[in-house]
Amino acid sequence: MKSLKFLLFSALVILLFLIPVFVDNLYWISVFTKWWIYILLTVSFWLIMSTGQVNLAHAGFAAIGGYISGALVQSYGWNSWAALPVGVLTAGLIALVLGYITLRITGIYFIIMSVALAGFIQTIFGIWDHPFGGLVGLQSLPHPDAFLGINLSSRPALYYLILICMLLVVILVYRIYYSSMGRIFRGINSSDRLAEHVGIDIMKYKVMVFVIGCLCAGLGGVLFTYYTSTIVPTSFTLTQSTYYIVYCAVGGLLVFPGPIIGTLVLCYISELIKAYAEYQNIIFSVLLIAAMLLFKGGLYGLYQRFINWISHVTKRNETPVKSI
Amino acid sequence: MTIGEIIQPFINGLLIGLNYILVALGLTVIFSIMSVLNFAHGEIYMIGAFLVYYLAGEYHVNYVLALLIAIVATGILGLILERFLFRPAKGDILTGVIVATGLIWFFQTGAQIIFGSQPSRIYPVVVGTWHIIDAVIAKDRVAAGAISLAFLAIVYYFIYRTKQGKAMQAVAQDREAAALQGIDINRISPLGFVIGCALAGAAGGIILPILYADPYMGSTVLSTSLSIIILGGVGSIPGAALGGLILGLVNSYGAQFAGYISSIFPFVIIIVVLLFKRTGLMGRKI
Repeated sequence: MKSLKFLLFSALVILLFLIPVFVDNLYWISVFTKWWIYILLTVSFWLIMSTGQVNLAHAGFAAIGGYISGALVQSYGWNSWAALPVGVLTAGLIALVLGYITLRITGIYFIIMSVALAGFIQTIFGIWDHPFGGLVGLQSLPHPDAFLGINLSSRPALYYLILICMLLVVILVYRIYYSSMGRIFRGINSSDRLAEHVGIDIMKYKVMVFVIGCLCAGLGGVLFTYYTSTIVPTSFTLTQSTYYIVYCAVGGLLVFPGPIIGTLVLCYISELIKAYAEYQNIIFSVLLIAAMLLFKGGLYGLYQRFINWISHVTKRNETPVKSI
Repeated sequence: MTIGEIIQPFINGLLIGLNYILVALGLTVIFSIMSVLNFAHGEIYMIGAFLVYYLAGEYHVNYVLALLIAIVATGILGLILERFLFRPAKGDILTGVIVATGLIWFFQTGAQIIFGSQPSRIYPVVVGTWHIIDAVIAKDRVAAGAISLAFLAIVYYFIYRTKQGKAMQAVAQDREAAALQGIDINRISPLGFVIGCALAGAAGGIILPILYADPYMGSTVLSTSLSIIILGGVGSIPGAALGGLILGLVNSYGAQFAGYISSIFPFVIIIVVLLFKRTGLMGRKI
């Protein structure tokens, strides 16, 4: 079973790598690139949520990464491969400080802090003219510099760069979630008091997961500036972060492939209904509320129920898979 | 700098602060009774403002009557939200927050489709100004402050002096203990939600003659009222009142002396309070 999963995963990865070879349409390559960025951000958002914290400033951390690296490249002439880690680490550092202070208490305080932080980040970049460009933001950022001699200015090259980053983040999150640390996260999510009483330093793990998630968000922000060559204060707002919640909730909050499935399905839907873009948020909000109140398992939960039902009908499997 | 430059923002800040208190009080009541942090509170405020805009501005209904209709309508909306969205969330904070986040989108996008993105404004109901020393005080602001104060007095009387209000306090203190005393929680929860939403709708309707109504006005109001309840202490009604006045003054002086940068003040307050004194000014110990 495990080798089958690995085989399936490898086949999928090869397929993803072959997309630019077979898809000749630059538009779709560009759309896929955008989706991979969303998957990266959603998966890292979901990792933080697996400890029961909703980080509504997740997009804000992406903005920090994107702005810092963009400003270093544009105003100070840094090489983009030197600016990338600085942007990512700044996001992580801010997360470390804020997380250490606000994660001490449970309840609504972290969520309120993250809402305030999202607004703060958006406003502060709108005010700060040099080097962040104020309300106009950073426009016409250069393409990322060549990496080990590979030119990254074409769309397919950027596709590969972002695909590799996305896969690395997905694998990282997968490895964390199914390690002993991930079990601790789930323990904290279901009852942090209990986790504390069996001797887990919940503070350490909460901060750790928050920082890891925000580092990934910073990376997503930097990649976003490569993708659009621009970043404005409204690129990453509270609304963006709520998209990640919807992706997770529709795909399935409690299981690993949930956020990925949710992102792909909803991104595809929003691509389909592009002509009616102004109605998109209404549709998404209804989906979100329905998923939260009626199908807590999301699409993946429905799929598991379906599998259960099949195995129940055919009686091939005597021990039913535990549905979530 | 003249004395007027000091006095005018002070009076305006206090008057606008009274309006902030209405919104923050609604948020506090809903949170302490239902453990629901209603992020869509700003959108209820926006709906209240638009209802008054259409009734008073487009259909020429008397302003006071329009305000009362808006209050009743947002109250009924609160009843519906409680029954079908927040009661099924069963007091789980995370589910409640996520559902409320969905509601923000729903109302914001809906308002944008129905009302359009153009800012809408009605003619001032009360016109004229007073001159105190060299400060200019607009009468419509005084009127808005007075109406807000009247509503605050009614809500204060209701919560602290009536039997229903005392039942609400009991539920806020301990839900299960209140139920054991024979308080019907399923009647008190909708009551709290209706009061909270009606307060937000009232605040929106009151502020309309002074400000513009637009579909996105709710997000500013949300961050302001979140910072008020954090500053005053989550769940504390006197705290919400104190915080509202402080935020009114901060915003008023900020707009006068710091300009656009003052829009980060609410966020700074939230972050600073959470960093150094998490219980806020008058909050209970956590």
